[in-house]
Amino acid sequence: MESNTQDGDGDARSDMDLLAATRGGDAHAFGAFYRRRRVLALTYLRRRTTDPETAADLLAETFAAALAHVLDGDQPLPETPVAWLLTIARNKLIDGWRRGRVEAAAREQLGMQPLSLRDSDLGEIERLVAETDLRESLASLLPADQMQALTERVLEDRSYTEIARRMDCSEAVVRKRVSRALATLRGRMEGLA
Amino acid sequence: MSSFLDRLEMELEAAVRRRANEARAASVADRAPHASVAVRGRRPPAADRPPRWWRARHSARVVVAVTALLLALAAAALAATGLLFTGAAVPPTPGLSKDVGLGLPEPGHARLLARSVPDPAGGLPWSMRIVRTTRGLVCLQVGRLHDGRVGVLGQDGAFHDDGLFHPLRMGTLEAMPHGYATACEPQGETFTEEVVGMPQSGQLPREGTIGRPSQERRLYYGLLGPDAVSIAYRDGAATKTVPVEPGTGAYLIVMPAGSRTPKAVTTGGAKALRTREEGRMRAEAPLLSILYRVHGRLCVEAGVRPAASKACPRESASQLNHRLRVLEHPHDLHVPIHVTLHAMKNDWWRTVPTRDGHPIRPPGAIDGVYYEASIELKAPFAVQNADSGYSVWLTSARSSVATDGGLGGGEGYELERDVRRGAPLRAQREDVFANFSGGAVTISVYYYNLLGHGHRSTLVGSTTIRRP
Repeated sequence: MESNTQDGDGDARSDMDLLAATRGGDAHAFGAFYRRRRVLALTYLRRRTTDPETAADLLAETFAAALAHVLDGDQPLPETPVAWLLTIARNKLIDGWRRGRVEAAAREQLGMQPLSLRDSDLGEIERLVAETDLRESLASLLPADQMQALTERVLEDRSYTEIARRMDCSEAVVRKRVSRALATLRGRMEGLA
Repeated sequence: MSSFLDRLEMELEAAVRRRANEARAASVADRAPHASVAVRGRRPPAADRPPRWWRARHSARVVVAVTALLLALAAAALAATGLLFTGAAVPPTPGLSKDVGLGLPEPGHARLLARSVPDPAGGLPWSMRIVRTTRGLVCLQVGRLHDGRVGVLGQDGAFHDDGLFHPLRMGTLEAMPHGYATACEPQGETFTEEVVGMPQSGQLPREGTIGRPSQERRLYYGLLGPDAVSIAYRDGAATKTVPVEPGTGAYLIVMPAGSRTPKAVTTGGAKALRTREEGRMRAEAPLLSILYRVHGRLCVEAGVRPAASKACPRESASQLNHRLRVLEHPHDLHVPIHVTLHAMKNDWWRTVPTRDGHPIRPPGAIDGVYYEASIELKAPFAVQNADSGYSVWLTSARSSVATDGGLGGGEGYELERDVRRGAPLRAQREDVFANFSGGAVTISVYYYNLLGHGHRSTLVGSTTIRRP
């Protein structure tokens, strides 16, 4: 189930609806999708790169590739847009490592202008990444029981015994749910192209 | 002055507008000259015609479209007469193995729910196949029922909308969220499942949309155990009470689409441990109540608040804690865990420059190598089915501070396969240091036993490895 509140985009439509509207030519719809998910994607990329410039470059290419996909009427729209977006980000990251530079193919395909970065931009990126709580994005990817187990264990650092008591189940079940949550995330990250 | 993030947004929106304008311009250009040519009955000049590849592709599309239309019309005609042709069976799930994962369906241990459920819009009813697997799992597979078999209909994008019925093979066994409404749990577990947004075809979409909203269904099904007698649920304004399957408590409810926003399928479920209330599920929406027969007396589980007069007995908090303590074994068995690190060549990152000229350095990659860990121990307990198993956990030896991109203090995975007691248990982990800073990782192996039979869940052993 998608969360529609991240980053305060002010649009009540679901991610799927926004992407469908984008395909119909609604530019503001993609703007809303971008505002909703940009911090998540930026955080994901920044924590895997050495500097904010590279993360910003990858962010632009990630959203451009996502937009190119949405505008291609022959391509199906993603079932889970947030996981799909992170998968694109991950692939762009790996491509960057392999090729030795961040690709600009999607931006060129769309005729987008290169964007220069100022010191204030870099500061904003670092601030956003530092403030971002990934809990909400996890919630959009996981069933409720797995989400609860994962966040209590990982984000709140509770013991398995305590979580088991809170969730009315055994420690083994908590471990299994956390494990399944991680497997789900891993599967969604790797399984969607 | 706008920030980079705002400027990027404007660039993206401008790109959408450019594409929309290009599409409109192309559409106008396509219509004008070709329409006038059609009136005159002449072919357009060669320079105005689309290139050959375009014409060939679109001619092929016309053929496909006409074929699909004919198939749909034929299917509609057959449906109108009450006849339905059976198409090819759904392909078996690749990679099924007797001792791993879900296991293989056990021959002779698959059956249909005795009572089929009508579809809200008519047509083929729905039913549920109950399959036992070689790993001790019970799988529930929901689909359309035709000629005594569960399958899917060629519509809503399934099987190219051929309008035929495609039965599920025995070897089609893939747990949700992929493929079909299939849920698997260890035999003896009680559980409930739901699929909201299921296409009328009975096949879950792998990608793309799921068809028209009017074709959505909501499926609720599960196994409530041998004590269950009947369920009551809300269907619109009506309250319905139906018996569950005697002996297993199996049930299936099919409802039309609700008022939610369509275009996405959501699945979920709940289960009751055998250790809790003897495995009795509590009623959760849309179930209003579940009638059980406990020790010869009828009682009701009605959600969080039990019905006053006939509420089923529940454990006290102290009883529950005692059960959990019995189920869990807090001690470390200290089984030796052997870890061998293999240095894997990984020098491509050296060529990656950042804007300031430094190479991008993937986490965990040191001096052009990363390390793959081979983990081995002697299994202290046998694993004979999916009731139990081993899981491997990696945590930062330094602290549990989040260092792995936000997922925090650890990562784990299950070894979902059978193993004999005392036999070597092996696992591999590629790039073992990738998600942890500090150069040291603690590897812990747990044994879990979901039903609490035999040996209890416990920490088998752990060891800490350091990056060479």
